[in-house]
Amino acid sequence: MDKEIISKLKGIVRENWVLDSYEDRIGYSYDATMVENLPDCIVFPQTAQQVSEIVKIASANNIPIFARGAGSGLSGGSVPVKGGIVLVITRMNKILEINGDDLYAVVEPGVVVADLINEVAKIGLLYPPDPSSMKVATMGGSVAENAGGLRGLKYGVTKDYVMSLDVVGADGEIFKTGAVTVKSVSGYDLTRLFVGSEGTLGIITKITVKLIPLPEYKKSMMATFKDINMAAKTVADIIKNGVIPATLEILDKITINAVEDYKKIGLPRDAEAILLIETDGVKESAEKEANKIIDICKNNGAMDVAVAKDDVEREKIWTARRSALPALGRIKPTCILEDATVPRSKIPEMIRAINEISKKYNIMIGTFGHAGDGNLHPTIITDERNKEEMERVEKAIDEIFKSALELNGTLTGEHGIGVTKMKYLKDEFGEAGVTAMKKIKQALDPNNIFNPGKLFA
Amino acid sequence: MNEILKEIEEKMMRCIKCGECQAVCPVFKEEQIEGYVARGKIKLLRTILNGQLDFTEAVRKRIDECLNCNACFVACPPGIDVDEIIITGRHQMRKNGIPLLDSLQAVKKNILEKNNPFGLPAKEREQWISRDIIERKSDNLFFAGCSISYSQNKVAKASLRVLNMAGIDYTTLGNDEMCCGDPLLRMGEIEECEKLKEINQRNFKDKGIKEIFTSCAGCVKSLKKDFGNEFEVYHTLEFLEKLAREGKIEFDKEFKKKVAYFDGCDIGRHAGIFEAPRELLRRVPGLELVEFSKSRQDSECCGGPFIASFPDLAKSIAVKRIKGAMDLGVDTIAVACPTCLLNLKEGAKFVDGSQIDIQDVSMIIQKCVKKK
Repeated sequence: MDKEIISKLKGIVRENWVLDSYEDRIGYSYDATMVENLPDCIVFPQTAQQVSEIVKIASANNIPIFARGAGSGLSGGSVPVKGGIVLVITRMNKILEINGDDLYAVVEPGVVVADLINEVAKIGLLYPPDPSSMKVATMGGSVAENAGGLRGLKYGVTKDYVMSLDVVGADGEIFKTGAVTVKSVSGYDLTRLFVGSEGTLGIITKITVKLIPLPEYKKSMMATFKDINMAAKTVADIIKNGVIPATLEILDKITINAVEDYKKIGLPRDAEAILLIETDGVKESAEKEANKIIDICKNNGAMDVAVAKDDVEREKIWTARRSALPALGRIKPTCILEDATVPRSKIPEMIRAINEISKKYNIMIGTFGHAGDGNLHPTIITDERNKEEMERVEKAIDEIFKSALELNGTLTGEHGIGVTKMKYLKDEFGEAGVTAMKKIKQALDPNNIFNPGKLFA
Repeated sequence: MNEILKEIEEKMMRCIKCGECQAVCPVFKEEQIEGYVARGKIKLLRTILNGQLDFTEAVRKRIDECLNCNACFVACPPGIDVDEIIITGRHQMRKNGIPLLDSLQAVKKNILEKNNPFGLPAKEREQWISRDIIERKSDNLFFAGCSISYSQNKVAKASLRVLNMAGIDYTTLGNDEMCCGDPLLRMGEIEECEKLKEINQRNFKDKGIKEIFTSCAGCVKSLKKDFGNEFEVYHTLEFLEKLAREGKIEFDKEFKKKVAYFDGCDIGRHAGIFEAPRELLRRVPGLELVEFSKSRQDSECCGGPFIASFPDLAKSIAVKRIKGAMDLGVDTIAVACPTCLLNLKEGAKFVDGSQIDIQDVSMIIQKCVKKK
């Protein structure tokens, strides 16, 4: 990068918060996928004003900007695929306000999601979106990717909680979207546009999110099934019977055995599927819902329904779910997590399709995920050094997406398009749909400064 | 080229770059830059193996700035032993002729020439313990270690007094005891560390012992790893806890304080000893035992391993732990490691309004035990 540009950037954020050594550039060339490319430099602003000044310099010199939080994304969203500036927002990490009267919180984008959740819990409030990476993921990243989480079935995802944003646009100007009132229909709903826009339309410098009362009571259970179709039917029946549990997760046989090899919790190795379910809320209603669920599981042929009697047993159930990815990741050196999402009723077919693809290409795939909302995580276990196998893996991934779309599903429930799913976007939306998106991008970021090389192939 | 590093390439490949290590790394919390966290360090080492990077000064700094606390290992979904990777990286650096930091070079010289990291005379090692203990026979060996022998023998004396009261016999090697080698291991001086281990092994055999116990957390980690297959290895506090459980020692004096037990990384995460110190403290009358918000496997390093190499970081990390203890409203932090004792005491000096006292568990036990 031009020495003069580096100098200008140092003038904005102070010398030691601009990095351009080869070693530091390596550190910002990746996220949690296999997508990699070196940036030209990395900048760590501390205020919205600094972000604005950085964007102005980038715009004036046609230098791309790649916003980054913790770099824990699963679609290549923060990888600087065109070189340029990586703009890290982790120093902007203050919780600015928690308003218990009007039930909202205002945060800078670098606040870690779990830190916000823990802070508002102290006054009996809940910020529901709970992506598995929440101990490191930032609010900025989770908004840019519209992150989901285990609570998504009952409580929704990030977009359902963002009320207002401050955004730095391509011209460096800071503007506000949305309102902190419960309702507002003022102007275009730019908040909804920016949530999930994957850093391609502007840089978020302030986020206001809705909070809800913290549920007083939780009840967890684990149901085991000899037939995955019975498990899937159970999921559908629970919803049909008017019960929306907070969490409704599935683990397939490969995942169950991986978890058992790793943690030895006592999961049944011969089960074809396990459902992990949690109800929450007022004690009486959570109990009532839980009892309904137990009946539905049994009526659908569950071999066993184990209900947690206390916090210790509850923890064991959720350890099983949290261990799914770690357990699968220990089997072979390389682990690729996918995100294919289908309507809930199509889960049995999607799981069947994944198993057929696994056999067809002779690769190992363990599937777990949010059965309640149709968001499965087929996880490919392989070895990146085996070039021949990686070619089969790529074909398998193509077919997984094809299957999801054929079942009326979507390419990604939570992880985003980023780089990894760009080529399939027109399969989901057609040329007209993608063109409409491109027109918005063209209008807000005509010089393609923000996160170029993402979303659109 | 870089053959030592190449041997662990497959282990490094398991990094899925999820970034979970960022949540728990004390060094990353200070430096805030990717190259200082496990994910970033592994990436640098893999880039070296790809032939696209050398052990430049920036790389060396990032590999050196690791506490070897292995908090990242606990948080890591594929369970990568980052401690092993960093030590292997440092071993490769030594093999490549990259010199140690001056402060660590001094520590190495002291250990090789005087059998202790402090550079004090080798023959003064056994001065704190009476001759008859060194000469007597027993199945139990007390391994003093360098810190205890030269600067914190109070801690050992406290425990040994209790053992004496309970009629437990033990012997010790005196000047024949070699440094356990952990400071050298941490520097990547693997071959020199092996030499010390061989001498200790020979001396253990010649002494005819079956069990080894030590009051030093670094030593218990090393001895368990190196000799755990041949001998039973304990921390002294485990020994004392067994005596308490069997009713061979009792407590009749109060320690009316609010105490938090600090899980040092060597005794805790590395050697797997969490409960014995707590069980002992629970038996002391009047003592209110509380937990740090992150404890046991999740405990946060005190910063001690940086005392020689990166003293500013050692201090700023210790300050954070003291502040954490102040948030709990504790009077005393109880430790089971001479390095934690030293560094937390140092850190407390820089925290305004800190009235916190830091003590080894054995001192508290010895104060309150019923004397026979």
